[in-house]
Amino acid sequence: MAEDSKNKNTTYKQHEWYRLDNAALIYPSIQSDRITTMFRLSMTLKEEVDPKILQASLEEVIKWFPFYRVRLKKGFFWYYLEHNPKMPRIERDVRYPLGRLHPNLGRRFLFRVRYWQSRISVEFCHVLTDGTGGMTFLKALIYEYLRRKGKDPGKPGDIPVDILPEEAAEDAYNRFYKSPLPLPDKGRKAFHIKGKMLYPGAIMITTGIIPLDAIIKEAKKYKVSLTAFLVAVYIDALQELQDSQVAQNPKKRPIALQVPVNMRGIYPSKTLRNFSLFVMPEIDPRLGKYNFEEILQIVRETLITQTNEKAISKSLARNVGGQRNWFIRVIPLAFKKLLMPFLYTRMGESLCSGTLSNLGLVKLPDNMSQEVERIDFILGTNPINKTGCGVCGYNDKLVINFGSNTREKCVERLFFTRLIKMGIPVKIEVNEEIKR
Amino acid sequence: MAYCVRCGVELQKGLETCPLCNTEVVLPDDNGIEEGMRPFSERIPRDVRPRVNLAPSRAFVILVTFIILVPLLITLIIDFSTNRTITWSFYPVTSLVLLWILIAYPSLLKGHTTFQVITMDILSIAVFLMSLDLYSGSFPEWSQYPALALLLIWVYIAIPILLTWKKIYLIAIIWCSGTAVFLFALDKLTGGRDWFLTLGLPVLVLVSLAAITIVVMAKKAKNKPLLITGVSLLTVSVLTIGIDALTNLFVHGKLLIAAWSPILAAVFIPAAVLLFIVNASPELKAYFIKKFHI
Repeated sequence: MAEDSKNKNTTYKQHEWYRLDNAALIYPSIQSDRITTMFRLSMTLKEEVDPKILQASLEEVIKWFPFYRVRLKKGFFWYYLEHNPKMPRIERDVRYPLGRLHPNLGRRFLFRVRYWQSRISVEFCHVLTDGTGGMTFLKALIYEYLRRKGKDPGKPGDIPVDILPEEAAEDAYNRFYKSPLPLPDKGRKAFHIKGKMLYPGAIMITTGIIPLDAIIKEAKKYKVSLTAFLVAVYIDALQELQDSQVAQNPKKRPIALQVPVNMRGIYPSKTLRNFSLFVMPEIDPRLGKYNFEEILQIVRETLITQTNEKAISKSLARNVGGQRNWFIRVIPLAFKKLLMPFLYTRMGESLCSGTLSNLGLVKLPDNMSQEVERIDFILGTNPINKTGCGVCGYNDKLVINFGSNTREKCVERLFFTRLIKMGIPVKIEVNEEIKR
Repeated sequence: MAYCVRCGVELQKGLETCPLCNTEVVLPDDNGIEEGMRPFSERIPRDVRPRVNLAPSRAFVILVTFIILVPLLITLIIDFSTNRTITWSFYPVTSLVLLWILIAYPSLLKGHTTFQVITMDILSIAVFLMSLDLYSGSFPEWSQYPALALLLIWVYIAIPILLTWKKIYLIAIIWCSGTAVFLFALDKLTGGRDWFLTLGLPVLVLVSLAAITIVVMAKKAKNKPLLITGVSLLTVSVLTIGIDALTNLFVHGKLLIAAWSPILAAVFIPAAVLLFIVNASPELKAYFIKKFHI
């Protein structure tokens, strides 16, 4: 109680509850053992983690992010986030990360902090935030942890070290929504990886560690951005996979990748809740086999033409328009819940063959970066796409994490061997049991 | 540093096969796997099942109370203003009260249990039905039957919960004797020719014996579905012959077996024998799996 009254005296007013932002609306209804709607960010330090200091840091840092200190509750028409008076507890890490949150969501936090050896990880439910928000939280947590450990992490820069301003909690989707615009194309059902799924909760993680300069040199050779290059390699790998499974061209399905775009770069918002949308580079193998240069050209042009304000505002208009539609708003939550999984598969997952999320090159203050060895970004899986790819660059390394809920690692193998053939060295790590 | 000869990727220490293509690693790094080398913890996450939450929040109870209160007051006022006394509004009012008990009562119990909630729900439905009976005319006219049936349902559901589903045989005995008492009461209440001792009880004993046989058998031969099905079919045919004989004894006074149970037995017993044979022969089993796999 004492904490709460202290919070009230500061400039930030402690909200009793928050509406879900536009992107978060769908996640509570679809989350299950198989669709965990989680993503994970981790920093590997140079020394073993001290759990006591980590817990103390978490208790401090969570006060700065009041919009993460929430639990999920059901209203009559929508879910909402309610202030959670409890303190989050850190956990020991597990073999299969990204398991679903505790089913009794109404009392728990929507994120987890896990530690193992020298690694500290945060696993966020997408209801709370996207990769940018998650990374900001992790940076703040590690900064505070290092400070309490007696290290000098240097000047914080853009890392929050106090209660965040009101604008960090805004729903930016609604702020930049413009009245009716034409709807984006509906899209066609894409190619999906086949394979027997592991039991719910299990996830196979394949990590590829690549020297950053080698891969950037290769991307520069083709005059494309790193994201475009990786997306093209991924699409090429999926194309080969489909060619090996489907013989006739007319029966092939389009290969499309979901590539999240950080909208903070397009709209002037400082929100730390969800603010990203997807673009979907796509090839149609019915027209024949694409060579790598052709794929690269399509990807580069899609990324350029689809990530400007005009094109993005179309998807924004569709998503937020749906949320603002009175017919949809007056449907009680119980019925909305029945509708949401259908929307999710039809309008989202079944239209793409996979996801590649590039968090970009993460920059830390100089002193802090001497303490941090490596940064990982892992996406959760879903039963339709089965594999998701999270990319994160830090210092001189690019870490590519494939999370998959099947045992076969076809895509991973096709993806990494392509890089090897281009002369880019790849080191592989997995979370499978190491046989002795 | 070990490399996969097929993929060309560098591999983490300690791997014997390449995680991407399953090719065996030539000259694996066997410098020993230190604990610190593993990229992931060995801890397996605990499996947490959701608990059914019977009690809504207190705020919800208040909401429901007022939602129910409005139609309740409206009916009372309309009835009272036209008739100057309570006549027809008795029915909607009692129904609304029942609705309130079913929805809102659980959350008013502190540290409530499923047992309490079920007991209260069944009791209130029984009282509701009896009050209807009482209000509409001579009592008891019909309400004793649903009340008894509800009591039996309570015995079926609430007693095992009270015993936390542990003493299975005690629960089975309670179920059987509860059913017997129920049948006896029905016999006494309906009047006419007594049928409990001559028909009801023997059939009940037969059914209980058959059920116990099947359950015990299913427990013993857990991974042999063919055997379980076969024994179940046999038990059911014996049971039907027994029931057939008992009904004939009751109706005609003679212990003869009429036509319907032998027909059933003629289907079930050969089927059971076939299942036993298939169960005993791996060759036959493989053949059937091949031909009928789904």
